[in-house]
Amino acid sequence: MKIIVIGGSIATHSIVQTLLRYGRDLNITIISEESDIFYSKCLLTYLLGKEIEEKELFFGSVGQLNGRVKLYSNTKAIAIDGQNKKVICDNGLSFDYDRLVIATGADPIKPSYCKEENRVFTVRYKNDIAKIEKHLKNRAVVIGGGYVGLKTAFSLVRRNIDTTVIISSQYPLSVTADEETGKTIEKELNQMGIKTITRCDVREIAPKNDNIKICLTSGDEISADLCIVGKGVKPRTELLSNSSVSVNVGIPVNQYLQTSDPDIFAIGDCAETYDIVREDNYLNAIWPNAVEQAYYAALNILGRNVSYAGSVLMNSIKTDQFHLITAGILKGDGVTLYEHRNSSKNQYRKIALKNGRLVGLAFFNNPEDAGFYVNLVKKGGMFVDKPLEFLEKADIRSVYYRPFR
Amino acid sequence: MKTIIIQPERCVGCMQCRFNCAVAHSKAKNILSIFETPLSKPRIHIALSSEKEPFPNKCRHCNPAPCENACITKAIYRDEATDAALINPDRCINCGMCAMACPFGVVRYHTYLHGRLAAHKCDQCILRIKEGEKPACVEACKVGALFFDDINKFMKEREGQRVANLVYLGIREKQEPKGNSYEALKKYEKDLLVLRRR
Repeated sequence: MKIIVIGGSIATHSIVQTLLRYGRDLNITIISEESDIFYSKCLLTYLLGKEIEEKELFFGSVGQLNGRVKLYSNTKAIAIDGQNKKVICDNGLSFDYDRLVIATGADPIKPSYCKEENRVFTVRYKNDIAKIEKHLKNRAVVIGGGYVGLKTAFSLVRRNIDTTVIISSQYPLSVTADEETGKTIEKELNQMGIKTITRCDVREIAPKNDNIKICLTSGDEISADLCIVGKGVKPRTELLSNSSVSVNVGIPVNQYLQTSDPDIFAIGDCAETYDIVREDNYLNAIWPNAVEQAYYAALNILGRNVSYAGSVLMNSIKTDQFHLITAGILKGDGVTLYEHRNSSKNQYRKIALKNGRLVGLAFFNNPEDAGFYVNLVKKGGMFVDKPLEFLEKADIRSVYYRPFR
Repeated sequence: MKTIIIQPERCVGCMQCRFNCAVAHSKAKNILSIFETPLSKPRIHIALSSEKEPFPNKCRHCNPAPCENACITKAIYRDEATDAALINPDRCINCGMCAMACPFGVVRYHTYLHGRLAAHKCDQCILRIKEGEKPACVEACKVGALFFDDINKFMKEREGQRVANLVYLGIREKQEPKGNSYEALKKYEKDLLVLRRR
């Protein structure tokens, strides 16, 4: 069977590994537009903080895949012919396939005010770090209070760089965390020496002498060496624009990870999978989901019909001072929060219930039991009778399972 | 392939396995290691079940392992020879993703190499096994809650035991009948479980 995988990151790596492990007589080809493949994008902020070296970014190589995989790097797939089962590339090559896997990932969002190309960066690809290093001296501004923004800020402050984080909502991590957690994180950030500006957006970024000037909507101006944008990612779907595969924001897939064309699979950051918590297709662009989807997609390519239950947005942020784990949703209509605190140890746990169903959690400084609760959220239909006892003692008897889908 | 097998109903919560685990993973490998810095931490935990009974909670070395899938540096890898999920502390950057992914809550963060925090969990004592010894926690367990055996063989034996018990109970039920035999058998089986705990 001829299998073509487009992409060069973790989803590709794990789907190829799973295919080689379970399948036989496979002809696998990887097409990647980057020259370096199989490096961890999540580690780029750590590279910026000089916690790791550049060679530690790489988690695997094609050589490890037993020579059974052909790699075409620096090759960009530009079109897919679904009827003749062909992938056409920009350097004139074209490949036939029996099954096609799209793992193109996502690009960072650059808002409209980022016109100054030379001093406004995102942290997504390996060469971004080199560009940042070239201009970085002693003052930096991070726009966006999500996980990438905060991790970038931690890395910068580790290098004793004066860092300011501009957050458009009221508190950091506003997408995933509740208000109290966000405020706690903001306090921790300020203690670490990171300045935060909340409820404020950027109006314009203009060059000024050797550095840049950032004009805020509140009227203030900040000057800095450079500016790093962490405003989330958008899936790369331009490859499918002229094909028969349907595309929303991402590429919607069914429970077998198939797109609207049953021979084309989509996994990783570009795929819109079923979200267990939101009960709808949603983009959950995180590493563990990509690996899990790759595993299920590989089994489905080999004809085993294993259904993927769905993804949940979850994340962990850890510094020397605190450790926060969030999963699912903590805000929205009909969501009730229950909490248990241990103020002497500066810990708390929160769970969110929607109509009695466990939909989200936030664990602050409490990593021991977090995985247990996260996996209950991932199960989907967990209904909690006595939430406070459940939180305090992890008493599984107060939880029961009911299919909800 | 031999693995560590847990019989939770036999655990009395004496924590000997924890002590022996910490000693076995220390530098001195004897009791004087309690004076070491950094102090060697145990990789097995005693948790309480919903019935408030203690049981040894340790890494199950799942395959595919959620922690291995969640690890953004691939510091968690699988040892082909022993099929154990292991942590390479050189690569670990202490991001906390494995604790988030582990459904059993066995990953902790301790300083044990290079003077920085890293993920810390059971390594199935691969070094001891290579030298032909039993894992440290198994060696310490005096009540048979932990032992080191082939899982398929063990489950077969255990199922055989259960069938033998049921046959015995069935014969007894036939000799001294007490109403509905199926329910009586179920009750006997429950009693046996309680007995086995003692």
